[in-house]
Amino acid sequence: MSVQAPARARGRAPDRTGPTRIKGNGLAFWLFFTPFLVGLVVFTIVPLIWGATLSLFEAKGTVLPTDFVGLANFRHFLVDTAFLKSLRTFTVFALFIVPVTMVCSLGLAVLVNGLPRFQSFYRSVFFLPTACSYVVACVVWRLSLFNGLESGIVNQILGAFGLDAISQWLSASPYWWIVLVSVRLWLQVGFYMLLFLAGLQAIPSQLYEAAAVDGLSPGGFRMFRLITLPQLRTTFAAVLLLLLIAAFQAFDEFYNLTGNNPETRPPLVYLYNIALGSQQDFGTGSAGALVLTAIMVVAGLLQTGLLGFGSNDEGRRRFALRLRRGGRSSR
Amino acid sequence: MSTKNRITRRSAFALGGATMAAAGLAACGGNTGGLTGGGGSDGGGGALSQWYHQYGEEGTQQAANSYAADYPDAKVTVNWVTGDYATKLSTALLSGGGVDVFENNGIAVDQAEQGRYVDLTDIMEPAKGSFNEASLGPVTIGDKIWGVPMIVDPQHFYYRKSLFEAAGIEVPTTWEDLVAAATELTTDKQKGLFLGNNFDANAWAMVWAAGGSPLNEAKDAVAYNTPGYAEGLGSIHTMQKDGVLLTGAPSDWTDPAAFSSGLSAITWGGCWALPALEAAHDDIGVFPHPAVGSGGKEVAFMGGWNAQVAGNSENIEAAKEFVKWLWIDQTEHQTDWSLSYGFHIPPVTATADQAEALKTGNGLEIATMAKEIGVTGTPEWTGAMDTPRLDAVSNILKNGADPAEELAKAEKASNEAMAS
Repeated sequence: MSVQAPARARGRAPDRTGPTRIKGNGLAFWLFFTPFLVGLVVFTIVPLIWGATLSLFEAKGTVLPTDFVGLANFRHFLVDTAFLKSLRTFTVFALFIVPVTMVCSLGLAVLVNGLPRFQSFYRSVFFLPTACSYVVACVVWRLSLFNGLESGIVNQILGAFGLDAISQWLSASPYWWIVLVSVRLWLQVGFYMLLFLAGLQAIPSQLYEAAAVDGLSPGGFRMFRLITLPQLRTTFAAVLLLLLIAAFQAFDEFYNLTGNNPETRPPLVYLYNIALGSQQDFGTGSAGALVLTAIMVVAGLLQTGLLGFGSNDEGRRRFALRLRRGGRSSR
Repeated sequence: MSTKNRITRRSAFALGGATMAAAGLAACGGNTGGLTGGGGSDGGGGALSQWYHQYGEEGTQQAANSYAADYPDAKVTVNWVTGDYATKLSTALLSGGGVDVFENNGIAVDQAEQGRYVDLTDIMEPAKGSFNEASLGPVTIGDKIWGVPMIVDPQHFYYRKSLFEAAGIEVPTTWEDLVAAATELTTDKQKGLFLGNNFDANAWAMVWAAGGSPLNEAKDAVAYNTPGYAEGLGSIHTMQKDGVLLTGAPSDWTDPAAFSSGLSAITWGGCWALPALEAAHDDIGVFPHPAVGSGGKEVAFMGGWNAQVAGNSENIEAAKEFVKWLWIDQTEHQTDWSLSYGFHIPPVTATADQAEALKTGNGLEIATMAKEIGVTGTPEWTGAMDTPRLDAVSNILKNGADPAEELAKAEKASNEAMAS
């Protein structure tokens, strides 16, 4: 089997800016593409269509639609206080986890980027927790670090500072937020550090040299504020979007650490209980999943428009202008 | 691109077919413990997959395997399910995920109506007189019996007799007495009471202890909202605030480790923990859930496990025969399962009467509780009805919400769920 060489392997790059067309042996293309296509159809497209269909039907204890109920399953979520409370839980969680992860991962990236030696070692060390399972991390957090006894590691540290041991790490607010945020922070900070590190290393060194010529001290905070931060804007927008989506999808640590507590039950745990817990109500669960998806899409579009993920400043200004015009016309 | 390199329609179909075949083979490779084909050389009854949840007691898995191996009429594969058994079982029963015989501790009327279980009335009817009457309640809907009781597991309080004697405390018969005893026994080194890490281990049994029940007699409305229930749940929150309750223990209430290691003076627990506790201490005592409020009564909650046959099994008759053989006909394995590893009460009365462990000491007290003041759930109680109650309990215990208000809201929501 011969593989056809790219048409313009050498010489000037093509002018067009659209997606690169895959060229080569047709059989090879289908060989690589078919498993992906089958996976996409079986695990994403069919369940999506199936879920959308179920959301319009009653489907209790069965994954097959039974009685058509129209939008009743969707209306349920508008008045369901438990679901609205789960959205509040997500909001509180996102308010903690998103900024904390951004600051920590940016800080680590700046520190690692500034290392003269052993940079790859520290990069790997901070990235390693990403490979750990949430369930395993939750067990360690619950049994060892945030054990409610005096022998718990965090309680021992508190004791060393003369503070009382806390026995309610997982049973009282605000302690449970410390446990929930810290476990996710530990697991994901390394990944976002890598994104920031890539962003930092893509900043042209000439910018720093020019700024130094203009009087900014190299490595100083003003250099960081005036050169580094603006250059990382696109990375910030991408990290923010990814962090928000990840926070919306939070499940494992809540399910494993605080169980079915209504105060710490994010939307996915709530929907899991409806569809796959004791209720087995797949119609309502599917409607809830679509409501959540809609919220995430709207949040993503708003953020993309406001922060300009993948667009230029002009695009952002136009989006803001459209929003303002929309607001005026609605008044 | 040359024509010879372009994929033809025939080769595309061939590739697609090969992919589907590979996917099929991959699916066959999963160890689901499912049906491996009926009939043939394995005895004529087909191959059966039997599901158990993961018991904590040492030796139980080996015992389950040996019972399956002893069955002469079919090849039975034991699937020892770790983790969230209820959810995995639910999914398997819904999707036909390779389960023929399974154990279940919560038969629900909606799932029976949905055809998840096989009606076992024909094998149970001739034998039901030999079963403890309380054990049949959770498996009976109307005049149909959907499961065969395997073990009965009363839940009650454990306490350290020496601590009670040293403090001059009598065994509590009212919830007020229990709160006072727990408060009195709380020290710097030891908490007075352990109700699980979520403080709600006894919250279900308390429904009966406070004079209520899951459903009213007509079974057309919930009946758990009583003044006693509100009072009892409120006092748990107060104990938690006052530092009387053990919280944040490494293991939860179902595991006797926290109580056994001296972290609390009293604990809610199950009878299965008795052998481990008596091996660790010589002053273990038991008492039922005390009466809560003025309309309350002492109760022991009768948990337990029942053998059932999956509605989507491809080998229903063989599965029923196996269940009949293991849990109705022969008594040797029933006694072994109940008393050789942990401590459970055999639901067959004649078997229980002959068990030495139930004739003296704590074993006798637990058996007496089960016989005289045992209460059980009802299959008409569904998850949709329970969710508002669970949320209310959590809000009261963890957030100090007003018990009467929370329970009133939950009662309304449970009734709506029942009507829907």
